[in-house]
Amino acid sequence: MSIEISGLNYVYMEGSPFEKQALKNVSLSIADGEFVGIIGHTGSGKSTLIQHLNGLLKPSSGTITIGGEDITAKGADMKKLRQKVGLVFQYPEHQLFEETVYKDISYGPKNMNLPQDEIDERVQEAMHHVGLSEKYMNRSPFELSGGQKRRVAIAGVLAMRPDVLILDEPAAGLDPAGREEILTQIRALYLERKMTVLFVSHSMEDVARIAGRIIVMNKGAVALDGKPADIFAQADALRAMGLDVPQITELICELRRRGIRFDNSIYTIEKAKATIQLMLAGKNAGGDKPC
Amino acid sequence: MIKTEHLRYAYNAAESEELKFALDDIDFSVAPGEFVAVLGHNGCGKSTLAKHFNGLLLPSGGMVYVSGMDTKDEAYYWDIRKTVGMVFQNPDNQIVATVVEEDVAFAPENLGVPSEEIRKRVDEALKTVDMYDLRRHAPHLLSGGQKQRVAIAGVIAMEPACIVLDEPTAMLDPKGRKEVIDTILKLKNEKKMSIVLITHYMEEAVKADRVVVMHKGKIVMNDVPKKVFSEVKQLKNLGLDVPQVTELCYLLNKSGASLPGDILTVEECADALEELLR
Repeated sequence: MSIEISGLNYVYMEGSPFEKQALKNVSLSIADGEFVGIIGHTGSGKSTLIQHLNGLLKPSSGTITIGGEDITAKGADMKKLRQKVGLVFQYPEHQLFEETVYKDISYGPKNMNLPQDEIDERVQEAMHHVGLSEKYMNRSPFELSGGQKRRVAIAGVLAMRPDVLILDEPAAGLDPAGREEILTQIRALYLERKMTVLFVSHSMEDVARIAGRIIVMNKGAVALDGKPADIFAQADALRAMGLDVPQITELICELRRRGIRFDNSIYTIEKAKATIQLMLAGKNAGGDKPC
Repeated sequence: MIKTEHLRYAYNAAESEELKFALDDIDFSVAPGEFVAVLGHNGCGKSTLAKHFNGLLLPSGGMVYVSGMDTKDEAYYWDIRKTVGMVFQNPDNQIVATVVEEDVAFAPENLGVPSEEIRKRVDEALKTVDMYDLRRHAPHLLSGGQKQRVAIAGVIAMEPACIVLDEPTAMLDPKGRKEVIDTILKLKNEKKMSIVLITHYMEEAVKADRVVVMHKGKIVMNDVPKKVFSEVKQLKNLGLDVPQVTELCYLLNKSGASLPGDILTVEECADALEELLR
């Protein structure tokens, strides 16, 4: 499902002394089946932006079209929209409320008035997608570990079978193994279900690993938009916006500063390793200029 | 400063009567003025250990001493909490007052410190964490990094000799994380406080004097950062990360290069690679 945003402006507390323009003339076009990472530091407008995409916020001006339907038009069907666009908030485990894992995950499908056997099927499917064993189905979500609770919350959104999945910092606060697992599952889910995925994060390293396109927000506007390699090549611009660049990117910048020729689009350990090995092989083979 | 001997902590597992050990035979110590980082994945026991350092939890076996005081001895209850201050993960759960400076004054007020002295301590604590200019602001309108620094100021105002921080940066963005880590380093360097930092972030642990790695309730590594992080394979097996440049050098070495095994920073890595490639 494609997303078209054009000329989007949003002003918080308009007309009051606290008035603040959170989004400034944002225009974006996201194709069906794209995996987009959205990064930006706190206050850059990324959360404000995604809250527009399932109608939690109404634009001050501008239009948003999702799957061909103008969701900013008068009388747009918000209920239908929210079934198509699933939003997983930051720390979604804080929103768990039911007595059992099954009841919590089935809450959405139940409210869609689906038949019982389809609800069951969707709950099982969602639990499978987030890697939760079925033995947890009748446990209370509150006696699970933090990482498990988060999976239950994400499964609750997946059970709606959304066409667009938006995740706000899904790996925040998890340990490295937990992060890795969640990222791998999101990637697998994306490949299997062919959804459009928007992944909000302030970790450049996480975004670089799984997104095919990166949008960098700064001061309410889109600052950069492109393939990961093109975005990482602009390390100085990223740092100026208060973002952390991966250590490997910093290393390549530093080596280039010292006059060693490197492609500035290298941002993963694997690529850096392969490039350095090629350079070493070239050097040993007879002093050809490394490149 | 803090010392544990054969510390064990048992709890009843949810579904059985069987006793499980969250901490199993821990010998741990922090010297005065030392900065120790504790690493380990979720559930390894690091938070349980931290809660023993000021008597929030008491050992099921073994001993914990804080400046020589046995934490199980009720007579030392207040002295121990005055000696070791704690900062937790979520800044929103730690702030009690509606004005920044009142929040910082909360602990010294409860300790019965005279009011001129409180004023002095609060101002100094807020200056240390670089929040003095915002002293009359409402805490709920601050950023995460700022709130966490207010929480740290609240602990410093108690003038403890040691501060224990349990994942203080886990909920913060990169900027907030840097603010908090810079503050911690300042406490060590200027105030000569002992620091125990529990964290998932390797780049934070690298800055410590010593790194302790926990796994399944036991201490499995305990050394200076350079030594600990050179064990790339072991750390990965424990579900932990190493700095990217350390991993890069490790992988290059595995396929025949001969780089130093204890590289932790971009600077060191660039030096080594420059030499190799020139």
